[in-house]
Amino acid sequence: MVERMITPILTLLLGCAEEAPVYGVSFGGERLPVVDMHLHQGEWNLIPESTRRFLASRFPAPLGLIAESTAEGSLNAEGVLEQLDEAGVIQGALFAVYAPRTVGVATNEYVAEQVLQDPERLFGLGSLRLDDWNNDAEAQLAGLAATLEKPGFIGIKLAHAHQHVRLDDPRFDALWSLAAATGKPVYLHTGSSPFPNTAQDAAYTDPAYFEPIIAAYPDAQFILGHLGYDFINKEVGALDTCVELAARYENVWLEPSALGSAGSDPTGANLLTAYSAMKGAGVIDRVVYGSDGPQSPGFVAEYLERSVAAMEGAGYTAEEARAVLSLNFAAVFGVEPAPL
Amino acid sequence: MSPLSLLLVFAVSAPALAERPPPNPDPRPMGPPDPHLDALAGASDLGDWAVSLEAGFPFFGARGQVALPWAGLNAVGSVNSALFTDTWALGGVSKRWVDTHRVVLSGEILVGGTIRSGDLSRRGPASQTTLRLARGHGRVVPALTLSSRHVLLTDVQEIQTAEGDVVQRSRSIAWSPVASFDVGVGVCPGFAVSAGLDVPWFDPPGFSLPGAHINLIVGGWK
Ligand SMILES: [Zn+2]
Repeated sequence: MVERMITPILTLLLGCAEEAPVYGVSFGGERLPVVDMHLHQGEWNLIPESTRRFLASRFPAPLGLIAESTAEGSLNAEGVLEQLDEAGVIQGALFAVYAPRTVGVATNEYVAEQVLQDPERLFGLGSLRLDDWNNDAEAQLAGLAATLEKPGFIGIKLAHAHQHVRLDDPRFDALWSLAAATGKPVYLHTGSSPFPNTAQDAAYTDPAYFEPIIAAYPDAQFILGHLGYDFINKEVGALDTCVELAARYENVWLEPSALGSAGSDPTGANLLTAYSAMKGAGVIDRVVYGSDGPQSPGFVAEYLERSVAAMEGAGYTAEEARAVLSLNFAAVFGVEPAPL
Repeated sequence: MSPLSLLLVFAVSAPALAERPPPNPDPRPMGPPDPHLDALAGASDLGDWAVSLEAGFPFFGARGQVALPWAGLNAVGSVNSALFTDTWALGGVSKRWVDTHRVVLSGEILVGGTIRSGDLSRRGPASQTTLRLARGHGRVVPALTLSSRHVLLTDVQEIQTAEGDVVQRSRSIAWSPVASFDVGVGVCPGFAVSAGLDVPWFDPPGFSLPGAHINLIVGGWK
């Protein structure tokens, strides 16, 4: 507190500015801007009890005993921006989430508020409930459509496995049509998930089940999150399916978040395999970088480091890395390329 | 030994030593009790009592002991809480098993209950078995404490079926040991302080952060 008051005074007196965050990463001798398309924030109490218990049990004891206050600091926009600054990430997208039985709820309204904290740097992906679709489809779609009109909302976030709907569920035509009509890409969680109560069967996690929808809606853009990673067994899972879908369909994009974290891929071998496979299939122009942070302090920065190492290991050129780290984000979401 | 303990030693030991008779070779010197020795050793001599108040991270607590007129036993009561969230209230007995001029080794068995609030909530009947090893005399007493704490948990699962509700109960025992190392210093007769480090293990096999605490100890005699 005292430091906060003294720093501006010193700055005035001495004419020296506070050390500004340095944005971008070095790659092949160039400095590249970075956009993180996959960030979460929210309110602890909107996470279901079983998942709060799961998360609390992963904090070092006894901090799990006071999990709510431990988590508070990193769950708002200010905390997210701090993490982005530390990582050198210039822009990021925050996800709304409606998965009340698994990972919890971060409402569209909450994300809209957070995006307004720094509209130059934060974007939002809106979402909707899918679990009472037979009764509330119209209301849910209307809510999502209104959200997508709000400033900063660039896409739609879904997670079939967390929301307990099959990837080939035929009831969501109106949703895919909305995505195609508005030009807002749909982000899908693919692969298994460590969260309690997730629907882990292939129909909920294997992107092959989603192919009929990809084929039927060529004007809608689909981003396959986590590359179908098997988070339970820490294996590449449906990586090949994701890469093949991207190779066969122009409207498929790939997002390699979370799978390469220290916890899910301790040696970094799986992330390297993933980046190599995407290069090998010639789909680098549709790979969009994301971390799935902030998770814990330092995670956003560490994930970027691990991803850059994987791209270097897989022989990416600086231009390819630039595409993954920022240009493809601008291309798929139709926004200005990020500045350095 | 903490700098605080050293300071206290210097502050209180010089005049006290000058007035003292030559060291008493007896296992238990006569005279007023050393409440820090008694508290850190876990049991008082007949007619004595000791109470300690603990504050630190993550533990806060209070513990009292009073010698009983049978078999060298002490009655012990203890309330201890980690971050005011994981609270154990226990009572039982302690006894010095080995008691020489060099060391005191005591054992303690307490039973009671524990209740934990928050996202990792649980509750149930609990027990705590403790071994304490302390230096057997002196104004500065180092002591090692090993506690094994157990709680009996009952999971209740209600299943709704066409034939009616089925309630299933399953029981499990959760273990959470704590090791502590303390250095206690007598400040004046009947009053002492100690400072120590704690190595708790809340929910094995997960990692637990170590902690530290300060105790205020008072004691008396008849
Ligand atoms: Zn996520």
